[in-house]
Amino acid sequence: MTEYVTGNERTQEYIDRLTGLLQFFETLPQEKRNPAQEAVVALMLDHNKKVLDHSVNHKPLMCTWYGNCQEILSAMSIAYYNPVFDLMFHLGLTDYADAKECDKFNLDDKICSLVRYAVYSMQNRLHPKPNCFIAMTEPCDGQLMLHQAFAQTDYLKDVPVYCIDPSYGHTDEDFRYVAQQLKEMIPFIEKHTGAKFEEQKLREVVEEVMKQDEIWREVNDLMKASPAPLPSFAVGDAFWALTQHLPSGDPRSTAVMAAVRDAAKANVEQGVGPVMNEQVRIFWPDLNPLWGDKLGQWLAEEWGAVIVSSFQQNTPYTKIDTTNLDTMLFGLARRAVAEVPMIRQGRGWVDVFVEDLTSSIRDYNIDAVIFSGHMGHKDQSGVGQFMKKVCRDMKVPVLTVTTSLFDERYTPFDKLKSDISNFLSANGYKKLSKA
Amino acid sequence: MTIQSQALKALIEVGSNPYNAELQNFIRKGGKTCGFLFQETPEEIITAAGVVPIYIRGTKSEGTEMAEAYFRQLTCNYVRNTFNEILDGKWDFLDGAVFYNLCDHARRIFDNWQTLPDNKAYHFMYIPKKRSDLSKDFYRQEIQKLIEATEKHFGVEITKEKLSEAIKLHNEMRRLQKEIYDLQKEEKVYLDGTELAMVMMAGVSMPRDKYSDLLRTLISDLKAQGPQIEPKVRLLYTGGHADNPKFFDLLEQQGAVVVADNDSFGTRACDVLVSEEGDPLEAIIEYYYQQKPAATRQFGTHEERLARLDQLIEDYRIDGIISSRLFMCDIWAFEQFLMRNHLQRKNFPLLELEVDYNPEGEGQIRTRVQAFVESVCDKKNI
Repeated sequence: MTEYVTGNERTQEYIDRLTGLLQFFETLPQEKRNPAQEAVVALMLDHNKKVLDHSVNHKPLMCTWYGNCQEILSAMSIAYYNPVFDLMFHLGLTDYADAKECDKFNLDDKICSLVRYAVYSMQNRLHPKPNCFIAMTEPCDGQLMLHQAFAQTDYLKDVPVYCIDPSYGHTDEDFRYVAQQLKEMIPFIEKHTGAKFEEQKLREVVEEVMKQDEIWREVNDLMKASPAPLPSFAVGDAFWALTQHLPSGDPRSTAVMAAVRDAAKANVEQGVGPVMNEQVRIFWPDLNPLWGDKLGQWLAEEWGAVIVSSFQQNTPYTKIDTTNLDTMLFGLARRAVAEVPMIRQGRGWVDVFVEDLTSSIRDYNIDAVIFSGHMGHKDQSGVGQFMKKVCRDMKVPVLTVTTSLFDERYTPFDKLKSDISNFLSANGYKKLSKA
Repeated sequence: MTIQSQALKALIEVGSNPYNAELQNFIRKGGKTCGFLFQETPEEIITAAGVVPIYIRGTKSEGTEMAEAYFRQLTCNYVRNTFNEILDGKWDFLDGAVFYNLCDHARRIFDNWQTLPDNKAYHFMYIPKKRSDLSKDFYRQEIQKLIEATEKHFGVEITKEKLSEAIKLHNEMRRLQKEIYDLQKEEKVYLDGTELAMVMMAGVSMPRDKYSDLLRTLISDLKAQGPQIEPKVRLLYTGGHADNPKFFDLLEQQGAVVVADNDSFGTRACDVLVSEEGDPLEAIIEYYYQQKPAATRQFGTHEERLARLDQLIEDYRIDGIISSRLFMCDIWAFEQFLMRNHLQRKNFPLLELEVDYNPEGEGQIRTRVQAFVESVCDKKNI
């Protein structure tokens, strides 16, 4: 077994595995290949190589989270990583090896699986040591606490942390508060990484990011067609990785997103989609599950059902004013705390959850809602009445299950299938074989 | 009860029962009350409005049946029991309630209460999760909004003079509470853990002036009768949302006594006073934002929190710590994780419990505490 000492060993393993995966893709017959998927994996490989290079060669390297205005880091040419993104991606390629190790980890197993992975991976030196951290304190209590657990390890106790406090509301006053922190954060980053901040570079990154936003909006519009032009969870999975975990504002990511859009557009124009006999259009009000492919495939084959949107896919990003640094930081702050998925719905009052659920049911012509009941989203455990009311008022049935979005072992898949089948049957749908 | 004291008896009754006789008497005479959450709600502002702040809790709840429709099983039982009591009309006596972003569980009480016809929750304040100059400025704005909302809700003006008076009232209470804790530092102690917890819980469950009167009488009784308890093992309790006397009863066995705590309504509530000098509003802001012992939810204060724990161990000559978290509480699960690592390095005894809000599985808790106390005795060679 690999001994993790420097923190670089695991990244090298990721590089080796992704290289092998890309080689495997090349062996597939043309009709089985998925160019978008291959492009995302290639970008992940490139990103891992960059992180390793920065660690080995003492170039600026940081650890941060989705929704932490990574545009700033990209503009400063800093390599950065998220503590769980690679680990979770590789679970499916390693028979859940890390999840099984994490089972032995002495931190309450009722804490979100993702949060547990983060602490487990840092304690076990599965990441290169960063120059500094950007912590986030939303959307959940686990996120608030985990950097304090990082700081207790010998490996990371001397790594400086800047924490963005998110506020609770959605007013300009709230966003200004966060923007002020971003302004304070920039010299912190300069100090601890040696990288220099330039306003023009941030403008370039933000402008590229806004091109990506526009593409995402177009794809979401295309997903309103029936049959849906892309499979369950596909948009959220790919675009979330490209925009939140891989380097922000990378034109190569924009190109992948554009290719996905073009494919979706062509499907809509031809009136085709992966589920031609579409009979149930489902909304998933949460992040996408790691086991979404499996669920999506079963829903398509068994029920002619497609999850046409989710909170992860729903990204109502407002255009950022790039006039000057202050306007950019304001726009980034608004995006960070009020627009990035999950943070948007989980951070503050329940009104955003209600608003997003309502508009999604309406805009995507939804037939049914499936609520994952993710074990880590303790705040969502208190939104049931609101969700039921929206669905009742809009005459859309809702199923609430209990799962871990990041650990498929939490709820046996057969149980999930059984619950969904009972729910769809009870609401008058018939399995494709019986339809 | 270990000592003969009518004051202690009254305080235990108040601490055990959110809708106690003292409170009922106050309300009967036309007194107004406002519910709040521990530990960061600035109570002085509510007091300055001429209203008594009352900690909202489901201590007397006998179930969560009604709350089930609002909160799933992933929500802790403090919230489910408390909201059950709200739905059952047990908190209808309140004239208002304020909430803040204490945790992912409790903050949803506010959202759900808003949907009920007789909603008492008139304001939600955001309390920053970190300490910095920027956050303090934001906090100041939030405090201002709380004042405005409270003035509007109760139809009063909260003046600086009233704030000064409120600070004095709450400080007097803190001084008296601290005096009781100081007595617990002696080799023989005056109160057991259940009594101590209920005396402190009474402080957030009744009018504060009357509470201070009872504390004065209690201190006088304690001093007159002297310390009655000689702990074989001196325990410190720390955890979240333990407010039920039944729970504390389970912790004290075989001569082990909870002599002190690191609770939000315990030592953390009274160790520091609000400054009575200068601008009273700034003093309140400074106290709740910076000076009060850090809450678990304040990012980056873990070293301060652990240092405080070390100090309590020294001050109260603690032999072992019992910590509890409620099922589903992520904040306290992490706090226990941090404490465990910290105390293991010092080879200091710690028992971690995961419990229901209204204690269930009493036998199991009792057995675990018993084994823990035995291990501490072994370590002490007694």
